[in-house]
Amino acid sequence: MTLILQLAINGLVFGSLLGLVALGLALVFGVMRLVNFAHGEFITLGAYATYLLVTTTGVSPLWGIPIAALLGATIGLAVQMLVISRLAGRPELEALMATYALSIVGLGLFALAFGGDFRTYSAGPAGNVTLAGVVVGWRSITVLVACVIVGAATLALVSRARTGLGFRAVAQNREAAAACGVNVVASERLAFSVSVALAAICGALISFIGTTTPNVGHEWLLDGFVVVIVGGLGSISGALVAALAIGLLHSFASYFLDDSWAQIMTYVLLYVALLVRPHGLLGARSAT
Amino acid sequence: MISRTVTRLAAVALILAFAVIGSRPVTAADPIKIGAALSLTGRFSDSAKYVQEGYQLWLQEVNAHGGINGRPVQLITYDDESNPDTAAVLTERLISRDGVVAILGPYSSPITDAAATVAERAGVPMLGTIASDSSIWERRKLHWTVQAFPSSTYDHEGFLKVIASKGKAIKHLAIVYEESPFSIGAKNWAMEEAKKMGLSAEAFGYAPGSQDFSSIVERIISSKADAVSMGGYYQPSIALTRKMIERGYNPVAYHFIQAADGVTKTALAGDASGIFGRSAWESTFTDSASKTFTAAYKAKFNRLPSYHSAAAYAAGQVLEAAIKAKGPDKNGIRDFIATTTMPTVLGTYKLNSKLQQEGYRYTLTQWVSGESKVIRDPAQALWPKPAWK
Repeated sequence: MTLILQLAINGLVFGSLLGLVALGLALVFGVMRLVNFAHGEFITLGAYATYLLVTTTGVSPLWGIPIAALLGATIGLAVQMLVISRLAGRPELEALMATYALSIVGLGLFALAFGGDFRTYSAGPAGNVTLAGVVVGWRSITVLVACVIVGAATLALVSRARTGLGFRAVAQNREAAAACGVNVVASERLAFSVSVALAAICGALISFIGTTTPNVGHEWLLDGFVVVIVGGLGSISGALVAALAIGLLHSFASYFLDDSWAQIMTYVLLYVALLVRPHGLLGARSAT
Repeated sequence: MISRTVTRLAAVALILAFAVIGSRPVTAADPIKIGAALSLTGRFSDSAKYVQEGYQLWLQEVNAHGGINGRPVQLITYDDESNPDTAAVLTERLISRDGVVAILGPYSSPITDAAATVAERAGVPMLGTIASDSSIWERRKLHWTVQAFPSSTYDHEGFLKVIASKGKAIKHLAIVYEESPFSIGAKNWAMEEAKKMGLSAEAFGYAPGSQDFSSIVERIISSKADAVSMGGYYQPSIALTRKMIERGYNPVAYHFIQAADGVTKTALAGDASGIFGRSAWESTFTDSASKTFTAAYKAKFNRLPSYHSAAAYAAGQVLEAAIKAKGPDKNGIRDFIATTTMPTVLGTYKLNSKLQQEGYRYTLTQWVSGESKVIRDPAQALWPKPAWK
């Protein structure tokens, strides 16, 4: 029983981080119908920002979370105004290629600025806590708590606040929303900005438990897309449920089978989801 | 009419001039051309610059002593941007346009693999200077490309030796490996050796790009392993170690192959203490060849050489001996570098029949009192590993 609980906790930590990656992707797709290939680079941005903050000022990496969020929101707003907004009304493939180009540019800039060697730091909460035989490190607890808070705040923003109402209106019908007085441009700017802030927070947390390289965001992006598809394209709550499910599946499959099998099973789940529920776990009922 | 005739004559004269220049006999002043495609930009650039400096030091010393057989040596270097495809194109250029007689290897195994395809097709000898991945020579039969770096097959050798010396109580060994050819090869060798030592060994594989090692740590704990050896890349090694620390799992002895690098201390701080690693070469080596090399390197570049620099210099030493013995003849150079046994700054250069390195071996290292130290005598190692802080 202890082992099952241990694996479940491990899976929840991994799944929560995956959920944060998917949250930003789902938000942008839900509101703007945009598949953002550059999302990985915004994760990398948060990771490097936190790394620089910790290694140059010596502060706790926890400060990296709000700093990365602020930086991400600002850069996200700038990118939306300069690049993404100009893609409105263009064919989907063009928008897709534009975000892909952004991703390549970002990757190149990070490689130029930081070189290829990975960056890391040892600062941050250390040690672990044992509850009913289950051992969880303070770093993992921090990641889990941060993901829960950020995830809940995003859900609240989308489902309850007036801003969220605008998001959902734009998601359902851009033209109709505009006709009803919703500021579509502002909603799209805010959605993209929040999405990049989420990615940057995710990067801050990844730098906290892992290492940072120019392609650290890329490594999480593919799994993020899987989560978004399984959860239901554009469904925020669906993405969160799918992320936790994939986290748990990965943890148990990796233990009882093999790490490679865990990855295979993640993609088997993707196929099953596409066959059985093409609209995703919660895609039909709770499209944002 | 006159101008057309003049133009035609000029063209003929130009062609003749090129023909004369092209066919003139090689003179003593003509340099022997050697090529290298190196990752001077891109993700490998930090480490590849050490390789470039190793080549430059060797080149400077060779030419300061009058070149090879009285001819100066010219090293033509291009930037492969840390990209195997670019390296392949540049290797082609070195061979077909620049006419090099031999190639000093690029940085990293994947790039060597790509460059080797071109070198094999063109029939130009190449030294795999920073190619630890022995599977390159396992997957296909190479004739012109040799491994001039310690083989990844022996990644776990030093750790097994220290277990044999200090770890009589060790019963279960866990070997963690990446599902990549180099890591699988090293794991297979280590599993066999462990069995010969009477250890119960279990292997735990992870997929390349894996982000989460918590389940592997749980599996290692369930296997009751009291020693762990990680044979994957550096980043996963740090991730695995952090998971072990978080989980509070303290093996008696722990080794990961890249641990000697200074980033280990940055990543793990005090928890690095007692962790074993392995190194191809260290600037603290006290043999006379290493000391001379380190002093010359420091004088020229004002920094200590890394093992990359030593491997580059050693590759230059082997190539120099080959050209000295056989002249700038590609077949002769190939036969020499494939069969010779000779001392270099990296140790004794010796290949097996597959052209994999057998002479160079890794040296065991261990983090003690905040420093990565070379462990020549396993009996002197810090044992058991101090508990995580």
